[in-house]
Amino acid sequence: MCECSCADKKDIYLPALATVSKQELLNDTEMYLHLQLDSGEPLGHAAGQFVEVSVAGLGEAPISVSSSPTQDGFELVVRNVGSVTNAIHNLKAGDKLGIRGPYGSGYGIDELKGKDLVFICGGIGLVPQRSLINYVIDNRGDFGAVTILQGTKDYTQRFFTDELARWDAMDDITMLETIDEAHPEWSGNVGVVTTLIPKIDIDLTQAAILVCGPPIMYKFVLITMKEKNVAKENIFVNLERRMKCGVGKCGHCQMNGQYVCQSGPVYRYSDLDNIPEAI
Amino acid sequence: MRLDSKQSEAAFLNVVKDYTIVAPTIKVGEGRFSDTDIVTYGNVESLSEIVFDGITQFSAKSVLSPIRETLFSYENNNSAKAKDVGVEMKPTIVFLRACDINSVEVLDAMFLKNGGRQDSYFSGRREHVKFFLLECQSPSASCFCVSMGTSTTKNYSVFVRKEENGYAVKINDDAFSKYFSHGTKAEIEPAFVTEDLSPLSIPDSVDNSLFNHEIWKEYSRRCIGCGRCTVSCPTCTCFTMQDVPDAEDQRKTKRQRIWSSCQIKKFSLLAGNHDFRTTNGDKMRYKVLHKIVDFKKKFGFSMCVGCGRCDQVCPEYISMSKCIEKINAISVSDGEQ
Repeated sequence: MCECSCADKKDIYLPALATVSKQELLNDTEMYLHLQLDSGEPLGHAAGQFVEVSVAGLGEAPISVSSSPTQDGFELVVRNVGSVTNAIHNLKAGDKLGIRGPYGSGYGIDELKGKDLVFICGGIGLVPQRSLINYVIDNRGDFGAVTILQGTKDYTQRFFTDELARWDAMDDITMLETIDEAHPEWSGNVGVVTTLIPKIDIDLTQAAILVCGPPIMYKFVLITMKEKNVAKENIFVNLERRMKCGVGKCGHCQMNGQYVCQSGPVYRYSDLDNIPEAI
Repeated sequence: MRLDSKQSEAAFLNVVKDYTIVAPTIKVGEGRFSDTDIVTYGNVESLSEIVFDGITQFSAKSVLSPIRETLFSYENNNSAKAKDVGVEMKPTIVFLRACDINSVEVLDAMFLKNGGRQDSYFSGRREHVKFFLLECQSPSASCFCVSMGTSTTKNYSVFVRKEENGYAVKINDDAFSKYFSHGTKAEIEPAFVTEDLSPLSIPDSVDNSLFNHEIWKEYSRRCIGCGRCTVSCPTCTCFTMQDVPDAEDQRKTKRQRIWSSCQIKKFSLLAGNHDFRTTNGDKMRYKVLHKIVDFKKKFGFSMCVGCGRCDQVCPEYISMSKCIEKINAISVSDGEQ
């Protein structure tokens, strides 16, 4: 960053180029990408932040960074839902993308240090949470017990299965997984993600609960946490919205005066008390 | 300073040489219905083209934030290497009423302050724009600037009043003294509205219970979600981005931004196509509370400037001021309980 006044004149909408170094289709709808900025600089993100991904001629989409800041390059997982994401699915190694960001405030790492962490993920809610999970693994001494709950709608939609198995094999991580509907190949827990909560063997009231998933999941996780007497201050929710600009200008992600691209997407649940539109 | 008609037009001709002039003007036959005229902002080249009374149907915000603007273009479709085309703009004068001059403060807050980053396209234009004040001798039926605290302003370069035999001007910005040197000296002060025809009380904050209040159901029935209110509003700044092919070079793509509106479908989508603001009543509630409460919490002044344009353009005759009145009545009665 130069120190002259031209910093003020910088075009905040101009993407930087990045090159796809690796890509892999994780299931029917999720594409994994590993990227490097062409400038050679690291992305410089914090866990929980997002980037705006540009495909020339089609547009931009906000995508969570899935990799830990401790890793080389950065990773995205993109669900194929529209024209931009469909084009991303057709990329090969060596192809270019436009990247703006990182944006948002991410997880407040300092507030989580020393605490037991419980990750509750539904479907692709795992993607942004994974940035923090791998950060915690790389800085294991800074955090207490780690419990990861992953719920997926059906067996064929599971992804990052090798990584989930690796976490499961770690002595200092408790990994619990469930699928909503039974499947012949699946011998694990069947039921929604909240059915795993009674299996957590740490004191939930002293832990930080990190939640990311579809709106319906928040509803039931929050009800369960209330029953378990977990304070709202200890629950962190991830409110991914269609943040068009990422820089607090376009207005799409606003809820009651809060710009999710600025003060979120990760929120302390107690900070959402006066924001009925949040969850 | 007083100038007769001849002196004024001569002075104005010199201004036109140096500036683009945007002012309320009448466009004959371009009204909403056939054979109707519209008073709206447009480029003018003589004082006689300017309409000095009445409210324009649309504000002049497109001078600072065009309806559709190209941000940059991609060099080719295979790479996302983008080029900053920057902003090239002739110095511009916009004739505004006090409420509209105050509305620019809201645009400044959004484009220059919100999110802690400056929008270089807006700031590039903003530096080239000066304001000339139009006075309000009396309030119009739908406006409520006194209630919103936006009825007066000192933030203008020149004030111009049309008089019987010419024009009266007050010059605040010395850069304009040279244009008006041929008149006769006179102390001119603009008139500002001191009382609204229908004064409003604005609540400082609202209770969460307002979100599920009955009043929004009526708006769900009446509002058609056309977004005309936000288009006419001088302080609505929301936009969306679009990539379009460059007409001159098919290999190139332009990234453009276009005005958007919280009143139209899919504006507030979440990841996974979920949405928490689906009924038109929800959207009305979001808009009105942003205008009078949420923005103020952040910046210390109200977003709505009380110009009354949204009331005038609504095809369903929904009134912003009546809605504020209802909200205020609810918050007052809540406070008493």
